[in-house]
Amino acid sequence: MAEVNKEFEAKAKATFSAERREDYVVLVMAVIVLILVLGGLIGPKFYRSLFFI
Amino acid sequence: MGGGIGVGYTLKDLPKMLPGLIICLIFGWVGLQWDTTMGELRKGYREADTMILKPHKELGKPILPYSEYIQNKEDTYKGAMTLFEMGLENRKPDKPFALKTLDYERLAQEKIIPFKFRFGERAHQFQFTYVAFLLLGGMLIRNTIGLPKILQAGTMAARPIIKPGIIILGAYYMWSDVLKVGAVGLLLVVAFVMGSQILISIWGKRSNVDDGLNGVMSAGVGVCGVSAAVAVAPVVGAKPRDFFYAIGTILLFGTICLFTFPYIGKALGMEMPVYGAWVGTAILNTAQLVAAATWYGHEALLTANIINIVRVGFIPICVIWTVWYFVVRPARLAGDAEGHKVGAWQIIKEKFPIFVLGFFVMVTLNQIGLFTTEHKDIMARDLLRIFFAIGFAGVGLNIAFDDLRKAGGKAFFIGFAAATLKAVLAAAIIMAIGAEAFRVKG
Repeated sequence: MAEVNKEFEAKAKATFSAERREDYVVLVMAVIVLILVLGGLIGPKFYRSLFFI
Repeated sequence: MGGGIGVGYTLKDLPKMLPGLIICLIFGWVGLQWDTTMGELRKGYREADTMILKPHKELGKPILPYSEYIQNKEDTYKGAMTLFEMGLENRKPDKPFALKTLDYERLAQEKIIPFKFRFGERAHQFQFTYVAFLLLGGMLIRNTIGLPKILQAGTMAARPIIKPGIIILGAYYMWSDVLKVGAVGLLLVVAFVMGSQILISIWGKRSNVDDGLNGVMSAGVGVCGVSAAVAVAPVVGAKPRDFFYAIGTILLFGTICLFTFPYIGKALGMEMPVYGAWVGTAILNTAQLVAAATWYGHEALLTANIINIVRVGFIPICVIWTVWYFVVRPARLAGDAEGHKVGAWQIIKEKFPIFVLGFFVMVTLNQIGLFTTEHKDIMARDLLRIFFAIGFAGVGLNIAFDDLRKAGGKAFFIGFAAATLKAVLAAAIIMAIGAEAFRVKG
């Protein structure tokens, strides 16, 4: 039981440190998007330009 | 958080993730291309039906030659632009939709709406948007031709790409929306999400379900799926088999909700804010919840997003409950008052999903007037879809029937019954509260 607990404990720690890192990455992605939009680098025609219409 | 077990996102893992991420990017693009094409076909249907055929058949209006039809469109657009330039209209008018020459002439000749337009309208009626395309398509690919090992890490890593979408969606809200819907959402979360966790804990204990399995199941079904189950597994002493039963149950329930809720919502005539509040309360996992809400419509997503933010904020509290109920309480009953203490602050610090802070920053930036209508449209409509499409591609490609088959045992019955009961009660109460309490005005 102790070994199983240790295994899960390690998995839980790894999960939450990964999730923390994941949160930082998504925050950085959102900041980049914000800068690109406010800086005018991504404009209203950007989305439609990606697709065949 | 609700998306499942956290993805590492380290530079070291990048080469391993890249192939799957690229596949999700391409698959997501195909999904959005499908959506764009269907949207254009649907516009064609509306134009052909309400602007041309109905006036012709019901009011006897003649079908104009194509050149006159286009001229009328241009005149209408110029009129709208003049109003915009004079400041009488806030929003710059979109260029009007016009049928292409061949489609128009065929319509004028045959007086029947072309098949492709009818197909686009049908796809809309069946809510077959990019969300359905990516989830069903991904699931089909995963369970028929399969997913090569080289792509697996990347498709898992694509799922959290939904989160930047959730953050930038904050550009749509004012604090009054967040507080109004959040307050009702808080009551719903306390009543249903924590309620179901407590119900499963007590019901499982009385049914003599093993503490390990019961603890994992109550945390997973109660609040946020797989990662809550991982978090509590060591403290409640879960066995690997229990853990996989719980994960299987959570995944199976979420998958069933994802594919049925949009149709149940329509069948019950739920308005978008009501539906958004319902999925926000009843679905356990952020990715599935966001997908089910987006599937229904943008207004549903706006409401579901706030409820979800409140829900994920409750993760540490749910973990504290599980630790207290399965570890601290039994220790105290056995007379070991010092043996187990809950480090509440430590749990809150470790488990709080900090990405929600980004959402609050976006709401604040919108509140102080930093965003124009154009900025909001670009971020919370266009770019949001790109993030969601990549994430949904990852979700679809990771729905493996083999994982779902791992659900089982007595705890499966308890977890599934409690989650279903929560969904049914939540639907009834949210419908009784009505749409206004959940409507986001922006």
